[in-house]
Amino acid sequence: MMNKEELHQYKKVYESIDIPDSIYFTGWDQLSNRLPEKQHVPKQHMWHRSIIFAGISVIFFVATIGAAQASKPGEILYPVKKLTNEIIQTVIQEDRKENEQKKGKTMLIAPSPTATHGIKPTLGKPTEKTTKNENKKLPGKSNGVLGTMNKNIKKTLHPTPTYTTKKEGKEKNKDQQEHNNNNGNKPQQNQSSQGKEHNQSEKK
Amino acid sequence: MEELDLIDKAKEGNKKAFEELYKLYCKRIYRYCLINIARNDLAQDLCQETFIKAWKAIPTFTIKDGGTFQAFLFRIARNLLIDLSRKKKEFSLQTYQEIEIDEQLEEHVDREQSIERLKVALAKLNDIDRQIIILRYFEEMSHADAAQVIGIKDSALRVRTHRILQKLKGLLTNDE
Repeated sequence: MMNKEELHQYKKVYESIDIPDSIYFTGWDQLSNRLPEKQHVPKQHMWHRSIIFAGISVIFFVATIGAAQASKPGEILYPVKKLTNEIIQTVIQEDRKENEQKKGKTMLIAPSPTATHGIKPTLGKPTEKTTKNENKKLPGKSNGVLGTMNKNIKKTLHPTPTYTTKKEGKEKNKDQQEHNNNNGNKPQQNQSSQGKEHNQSEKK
Repeated sequence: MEELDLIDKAKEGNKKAFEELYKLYCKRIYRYCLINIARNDLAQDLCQETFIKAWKAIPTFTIKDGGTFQAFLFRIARNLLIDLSRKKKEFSLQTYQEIEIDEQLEEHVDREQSIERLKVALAKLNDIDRQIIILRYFEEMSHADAAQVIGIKDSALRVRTHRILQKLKGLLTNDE
């Protein structure tokens, strides 16, 4: 390696370079005329500052809220905890209300699956497939107000006893007649028929 | 008045404070430009340009970043030198080392063999190595400041200076 003495000698040579008077004495006069009045701060520099400031403030805000969660009554940060909890609760409640309202609207607007396809409701029991689909489309299994609303809608849309086939209907009518006869409540039609029979026997 | 106060005032647009800063650093900046460029008039122009740029950019200068005002000024001067050498290749540092030093220095300083050898050796160094020698040993800058001016890492500069000194020693012994 080079000696420090050698380097020092070279440094002396470097320092002995003459500086013209125009640099030190008259140089400033020339320069001051060329200097612009306004110094401009680059926009990028300002952006960096503002971004850094925003970041720090966000970190500080989050940190205080985080620290407040562990606070107990009587401590400085406890009011912060209370406030944040209140805000969170109100926000959650509002969200729930909005969601429920939206769901309710969709339930009321949505037409029945049979009506959409233009098929008339046939007599008979609803098939398993349709009931399953309806269960899927109508979230009536959920608890609360929505559940009861959905059940009511289901009942109004598909009243189960009316859906019967022709054969089943006849059989059911017969059963009902028999039931009525057994109970002593004779239907009006039967009464009329019985009256006719009675009149015929009297004529004979 | 202290340098920091002068810088603060210059940031606010105080030209008197900037004049003080100019008088503190103009000789060093001129010398640095002259040793890197072949002509005296060009060195003067570069010196003035350096201070104009410094005046414009001084609001962005902060000591908190780890930089010093001398590093800030020398950085501007170096950028201007690089720009000039790109525009006009005849003023490149290599050509200067063999011409201008001989003319400038030999008129005023006693001719010593070691100086001659140094000039030759400096001419053989590449640009960054030459800047490291000038800034670290002639301008007596710290590693951090010199690294900031050149635009390399502090640790890289430390390693590089060690190698450059070995290289210089080799060059000087070969010449002998």
